Amino acid sequence: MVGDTAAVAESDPELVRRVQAGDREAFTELYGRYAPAAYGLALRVLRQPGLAQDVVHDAFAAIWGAPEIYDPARGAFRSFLLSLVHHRAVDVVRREERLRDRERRVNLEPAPNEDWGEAVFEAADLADRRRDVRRALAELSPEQREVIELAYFQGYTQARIAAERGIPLGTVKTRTLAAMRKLRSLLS
Amino acid sequence: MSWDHDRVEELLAGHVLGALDSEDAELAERALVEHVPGCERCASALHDLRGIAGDLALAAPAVAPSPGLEGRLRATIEGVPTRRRTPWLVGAAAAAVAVAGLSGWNVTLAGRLSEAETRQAWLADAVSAFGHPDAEVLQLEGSSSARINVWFVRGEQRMYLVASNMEHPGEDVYKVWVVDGDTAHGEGSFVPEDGVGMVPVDVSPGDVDLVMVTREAVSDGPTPTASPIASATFAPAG
Repeated sequence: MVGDTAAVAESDPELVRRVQAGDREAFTELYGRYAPAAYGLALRVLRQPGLAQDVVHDAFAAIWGAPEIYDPARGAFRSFLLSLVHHRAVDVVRREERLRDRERRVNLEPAPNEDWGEAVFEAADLADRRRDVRRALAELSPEQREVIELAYFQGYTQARIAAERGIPLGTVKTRTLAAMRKLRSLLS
Repeated sequence: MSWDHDRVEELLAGHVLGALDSEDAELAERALVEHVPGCERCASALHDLRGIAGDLALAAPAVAPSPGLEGRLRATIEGVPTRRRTPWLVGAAAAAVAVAGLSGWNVTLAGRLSEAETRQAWLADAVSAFGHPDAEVLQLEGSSSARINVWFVRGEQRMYLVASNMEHPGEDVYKVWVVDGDTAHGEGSFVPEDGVGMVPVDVSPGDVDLVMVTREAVSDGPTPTASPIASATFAPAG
């Protein structure tokens, strides 16, 4: 399934419509299109391949079981899927206290000594977007980037960020909003 | 309650990142239900913030999952080809997504706010259970137009009752009972949102004979006071 994203790709909305009609081939296509991004995200949050694969499995299975949970009017399928994966991954990481002891680096690149699997080929538009996102993140101030990193990729709550960084909760909130507004400006 | 747009956007930013603590999460849920749908500015902000949160995932390197995941997922979707695509599951999954921190995607099904935290935990489990390859569905039979099913995995200690097309009970609640021999045990109650309700039932399917739903005036009564609106008997394993 993975990696076959070249040429004459059907649009996500069309694939989702086919999945809603019970088309397994369309589901396979969506999986191939987004499984690497979903798994990369889950692995980034969880840092354990087994847990990360469970999360990706559950997200795709939920979409197959009830594809109507995605409403195209509310945004892109990719955003919906990755948000589903992210939420589930954060839920798992917060309940897996042993993961609290993992390395807590503020770094958007993978650790060199971790098993991150092999690099994958992605469709050009997805690869372009990935590059844009990284550039936009680089435009944030270090303080803004830190709150985004800790919240999104480490699964910290805002209160925990405030406690661990020794800054007021209100500061965390305002930094988060400022960061998201800047990202919106840069990526829109 | 009057809402300050900047404050709402601040809440929404934390919400889409999944970073809010319980108090702010509850406030965000309220904003999502009471304010955002009718506020063009905040609705637009939510739309954009969701997109940004989705894009943030791309900052992580793409990694090919093992081929085993593909096979496992294929077994999941091929093992249960049609029964899981029933309306109750659509409603259930939508409700799960709505309450489990993604209610910006489906605000109308957001749950009662005082229960948001508790529901968030088990609804996340429910989403996971939907994908279990050994999951079974027991349909409750009754005279009403409601569709009520119990989703379970034999050997597990938790089942999920999922109801859709439910009439709103007014001041009453719907209560779930499991019956073992001659004894009925209350296992939770619910008031449907947009006709949909879910209740976790912390009983192994092998330990009970029957499950039923009644409409009750109080949620904590020790025994049923009304005839079941729907019920079903568990068949033996195998």
